[in-house]
Amino acid sequence: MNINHLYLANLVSIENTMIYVVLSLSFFVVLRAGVFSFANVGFYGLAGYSTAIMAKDHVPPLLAALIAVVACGIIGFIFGLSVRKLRGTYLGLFTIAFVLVLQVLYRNAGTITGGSLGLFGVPQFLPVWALLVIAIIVGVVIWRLSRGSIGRSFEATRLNESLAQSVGIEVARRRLVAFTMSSVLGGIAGVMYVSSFRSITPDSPGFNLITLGLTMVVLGGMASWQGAIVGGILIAWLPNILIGPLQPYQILVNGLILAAMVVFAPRGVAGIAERVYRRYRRKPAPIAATGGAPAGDSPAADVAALAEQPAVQSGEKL
Amino acid sequence: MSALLSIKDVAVHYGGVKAVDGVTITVEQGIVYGLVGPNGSGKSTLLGAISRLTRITSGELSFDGHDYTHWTPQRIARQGLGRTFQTVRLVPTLTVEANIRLGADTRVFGTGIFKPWLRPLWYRPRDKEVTDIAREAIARLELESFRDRLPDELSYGTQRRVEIARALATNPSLLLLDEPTAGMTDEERDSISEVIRRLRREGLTQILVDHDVDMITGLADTMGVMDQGHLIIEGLPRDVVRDQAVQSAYLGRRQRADS
Ligand SMILES: Nc1ncnc2c1ncn2[C@@H]1O[C@H](COP(=O)(O)OP(=O)(O)OP(=O)(O)O)[C@@H](O)[C@H]1O
Ligand SMILES: [Mg+2]
Repeated sequence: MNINHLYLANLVSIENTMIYVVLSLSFFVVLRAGVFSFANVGFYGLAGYSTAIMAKDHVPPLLAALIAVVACGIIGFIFGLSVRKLRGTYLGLFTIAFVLVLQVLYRNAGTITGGSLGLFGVPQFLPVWALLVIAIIVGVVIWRLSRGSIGRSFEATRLNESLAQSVGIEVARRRLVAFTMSSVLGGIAGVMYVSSFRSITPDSPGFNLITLGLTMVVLGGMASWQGAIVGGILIAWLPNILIGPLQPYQILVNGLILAAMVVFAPRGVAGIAERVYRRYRRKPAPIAATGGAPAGDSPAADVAALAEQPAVQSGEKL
Repeated sequence: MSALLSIKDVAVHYGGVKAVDGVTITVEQGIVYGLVGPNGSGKSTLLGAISRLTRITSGELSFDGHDYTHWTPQRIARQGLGRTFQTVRLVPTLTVEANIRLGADTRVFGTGIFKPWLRPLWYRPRDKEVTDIAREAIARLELESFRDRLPDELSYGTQRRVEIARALATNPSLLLLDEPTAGMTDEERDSISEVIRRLRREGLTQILVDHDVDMITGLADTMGVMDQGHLIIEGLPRDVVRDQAVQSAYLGRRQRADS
């Protein structure tokens, strides 16, 4: 078969791969800091819609996208600052509400957002190679934020806050950085989406996307950035792997994967890879030494631990 | 001698429970202050209050000339107050060495997130410094053979040693040790005592909480006894252990538990 033909036949999956990698990392970056938030999906929608709206108003789409992403960063920062006292499930629920409220807004803002039909005919402003470049840059940034002293500080912030404080780490600032980054990455993913598919509907930045993102992160292995990337790629290609009659049930399949991973391979594909690696070396994977890879704790336990945190930070028992 | 730490009328109340109830302590520079007391007498809560991890109901805290009553725990930690915890707290996903590096990180790199990106110029030399600090702490607690292991693979006693090494890597001028020898073998216990003794000779001020009264009397310059949130007596260890109130605080508990 001709390469060009293969490329065109899989174009949607190729574009999805880049979008999902960025989306997956936007989930990873907050969860890794011990922040249970889905606000990134809200920013995905905000950035997608505002780019589409500005483009309709004859703002050059690339400029529109840039403005949207910068705005996501600013709003994300303020948002993060105002919810910094909320913890665990409470923050999770609050950010889900944020996502759902935005969806209602998109549906009911008349011609501005195109109602339930959404907005169509956005010009494509990011060619496939640009998507790739963006995904790589985002990957490198996250990699840099996962190694050495910064990586260690995020691990400590997530896994034991009082320990982190006892060695002088500014945990609240770490969380705020993570929240802001996640907002920006969510925005970038939304912009990539609206350029690739040239449209956006109120349904896309919703609960399904939250499930999808969580599946990516859990599938790949929640505690490492490599895992998040692998998860994003796998989920992007899943529809191609699913044979004919299964295809309409993709959401169901995602759910089953999520459940199966949590039960059978709680540390995801990255966890399996690390186990194999460790068996060969009898040493921890090098990433564990610099602050990334998971070990004893399962991501399921991590998520559960996040969810069980008290609603508001309080003096804790030592 | 001058006071390194002085706390005044510190109270920590949880609803009706007065975990710590009006404790005043002054810790002189360079001494080991031993703190004992029955279970639930408020020793750990007091260490929590001193390290600012536990919110205090009332009182004043001062360290090295700073009134830090309203500081965050991370700020007072960077000012030179290091600690370990009664229940070992290590990052399970990091190796022993990385856990210990954590102690040196903020002191060497600061708290920012952007400067470490300047890899060759800014990060590398500092990273080497962190390596040296970590290696020194590792050597001091004889953890060389565990460097690349994960905490879950270690015995409880070894985990405790890792925690002490991490606290030392913060280069504290005051070190709080909450039952550092709990769950250790006699041999490990002796080696920790030796570490504490050596640190004292090097001039490190320490507050040592333990149930092992013999160990405390052997190590501490000053000894305090807590009971039901109060500091009931303070003085030279050999005087304190002979005190009537101390005897009854311990014996009283035991009799109550027996009946
Ligand atoms: N977060 C909390 N909420 C309610 N009560 C608490 C809390 N933390 C401690 N307490 C209570 O405060 C009292 C003092 O506890 P603390 O842990 O300080 O004692 P301790 O002297 O360290 O005991 P042990 O020797 O068992 O370690 C206990 O009665 C305990 O139940
Ligand atoms: Mg205690």
